[in-house]
Parts: sequence; C-alpha cells; structure tokens
Amino acid sequence: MGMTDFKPLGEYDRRAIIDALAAGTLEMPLGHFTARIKAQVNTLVDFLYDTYRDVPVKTELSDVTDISIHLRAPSILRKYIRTQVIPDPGFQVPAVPLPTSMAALAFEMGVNLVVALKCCRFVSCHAGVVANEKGAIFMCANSGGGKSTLVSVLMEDGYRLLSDEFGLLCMESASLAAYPRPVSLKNVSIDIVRQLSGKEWISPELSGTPKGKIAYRRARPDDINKAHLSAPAKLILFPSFNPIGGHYARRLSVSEAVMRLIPSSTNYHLLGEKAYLALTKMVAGAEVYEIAYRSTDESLTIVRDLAVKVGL
Amino acid sequence: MAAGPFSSETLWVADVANYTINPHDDVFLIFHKLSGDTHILNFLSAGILEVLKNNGAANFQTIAEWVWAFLDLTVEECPLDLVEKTILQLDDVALVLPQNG
Repeated sequence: MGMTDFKPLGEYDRRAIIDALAAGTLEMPLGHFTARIKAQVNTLVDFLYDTYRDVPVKTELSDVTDISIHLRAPSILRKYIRTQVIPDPGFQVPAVPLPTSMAALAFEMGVNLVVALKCCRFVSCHAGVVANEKGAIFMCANSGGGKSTLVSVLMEDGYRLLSDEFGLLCMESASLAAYPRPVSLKNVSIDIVRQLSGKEWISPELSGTPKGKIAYRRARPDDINKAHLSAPAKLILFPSFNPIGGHYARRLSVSEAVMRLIPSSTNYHLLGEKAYLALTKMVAGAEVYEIAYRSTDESLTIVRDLAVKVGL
Repeated sequence: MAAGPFSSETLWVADVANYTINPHDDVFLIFHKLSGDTHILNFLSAGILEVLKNNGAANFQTIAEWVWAFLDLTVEECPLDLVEKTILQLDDVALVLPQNG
C-alpha cells in the first residue's frame, strides 16, 4: 500500500501523521465530508491517534476537501506563552481560544462550525442519530438534554452511529446521512457511557473546559465503514432530562414537530423551500415524541418501547 | 396591525407564487419563499388564502363573504372583525398584500 492510499489513521507511523499535520496534508474522508487538517499540536496528534484511529486517512492531499481546519495559535504570543489554539476553517468563526491541552475540543468545535455554517447539501439539525437496518432514530435536544448519552447507549443496543452533533437530512430523499465522528460526552454521562461501553472506547477526559468535563466515545469501525449508508427516520424524539419531574412520552403532530425542528437547524433559512419540503417529508414519514426522563435507564426504557412501536 | 396603510376598501391579494402550503392534521404549514419563514395557520387563515387564490383581489367585506361560504360559517361564528384582523396578521408576514393602483 502506497502513501497515497487510505488506511486507518492508527496504522500510520506517528511521525507520518505529525509531518502530514504540519504540512496540512492530512486528508480524512468520513461520510459525505472530506476534511483537510493542519496542526502542530501534540495533544491533537494524541487525540486523533486515540479517537480517530479507525478512520481512513491519507497523508498526501489528492482532492479538494469540504472542510479545511487549521488548528493554530490565536496570536504569536500564545504560540509560546500560555499556549492556546483556535480552529481556523478559512473563514471567520466565533471561536474561543483554548489551551493547547484542549486541542481536541477546539478541533471538534471547528469541524462542527464548518458543517453548521457551510454545509448546503443537507439540512443540518442539532441532533444525534442512530439507525438499524429498518430505519433511524433522530434525537433533537438542547444542550444537557441527554442526546449524546442516548446515542451512546443506543449504540450498545446494536444501533449504528450516524452522527452525534448533526442530523444531516438529504434534501432529495429526505433520508439521514451519516457523519460518524466521536460522540461528545459531558460530565456525569462520561462515567455512565464508560461503564456501558468499556473504558477502551472512551478518550481521556478534558477537565475545566467551557462545557465542564468532556470525553469522547469513539465511533466503531462498523459505524465508519457504513458511513455511506443513509437511513430514513422512523422515530423522531425531543428528549429532555428532567430529574425532579415525572417521565412521559407525548406524541407530537407533524406541524408541531416541524416547528420545533426548524430552530434546531443551522441552515434552514439558507436552504429555503427545499429544506422545508425535506423536513416535512421526514417528519411525515416518522412518529414524533417529546420524552422526559429522570435517569438513563428510564430514557432507554422509553426509547426501546417507542422503537418497538414504530417497528425498529 | 398591518404592514402598511390600508382602509376598508383596500383590495387584498394572496402572494400565491411565493408560498407552499400543506395541510397537516387540523392545521396548515406554510413556507413563505421570500422571507424563508414557516408558519402554522389555522383553518380561518388558510381559508382566507384559499378564497383569495381562487377569486382574486377583494376588500375585507368581500373576503369575509367568500370565507363564510367556503368554510360554511355564519357571521356570528366568524365576525367580520375577526376576518379583518386575520387578514392584517397575514399582511404582517407578507402572505397577503394590498393591491396597488
């Protein structure tokens, strides 16, 4: 196999990855997006080796890429003193400089920003998506709603990871595209998922980030290998963690669901009527519920029951 | 409130070319292409757009008469004032427009 072929990142010699990152020639196709990554940050190398080890990459650029991320110091001073990094996607983004120890977070946030602000081929909604051979579960929640925990737990239930951060809706087919990047876990959910999935699937923790404690649940080789397969939504959920309230599942009408999905989309107003038609088509083909729960076990019980109900 | 000046004789038209409307359950979802906004309409709002689409421009009184016939409502069930207010709300979001000239 030559250097220009793709192979899992973890199979490369560390020196080759460091050199490719420094030259800005690390090419990483994943799902429908190809990223070019440039960085000279050791903590990012460690993160990529750990969390993206199964993702095929090349060390020489051979194509135009959808995403270009340069992880760099925000100023010459912060390159040497109390070093910091920001993700530079080639256009101005509202990125907060982070210590180089948090390069992984800066990288993930940078990629998320590019998809959120520049992706015009899909309607992107803030959602986690998993699927089996019968269809997908689309979970749209505010931060802290338990979306990523549910995604991780459902992966243990045999579902394939499509995406953690963005539900990517194809405007022609109204099916959901995969973009199986690592699942971002925060605070107490890290231990929950570590116990369920096994510690070998969880990245080292980052403490003291703007979002608290963060760790990433690695996508499995099967999730990555099937990233070209899209799935129709069968179950759409609006989950909320409600520790002091009761648990419930309330079915939503098509119109209510559409009106709740629109604010979660990063590009609905940019894409216009096509996005409206795709969103309504997706919702009309699925059952939609707002669910509330007090614990991960309770959420899993509710979601499993609903999944059976819709034939997943 | 309306988007601009009007009178009881103002003729209103639906901006048919610039919206997509779909019934869902007992409401209607409508996407307005010019603003990029999506709205939920009740049966009265959707009925006003429908009669304007079918019949062309008209003032409040004529639209109300069309709506009463189209939705099989009486003036007691749907007063003229309610039709007027609904038309002005549709004007606010540019789904109906005052006809110039």
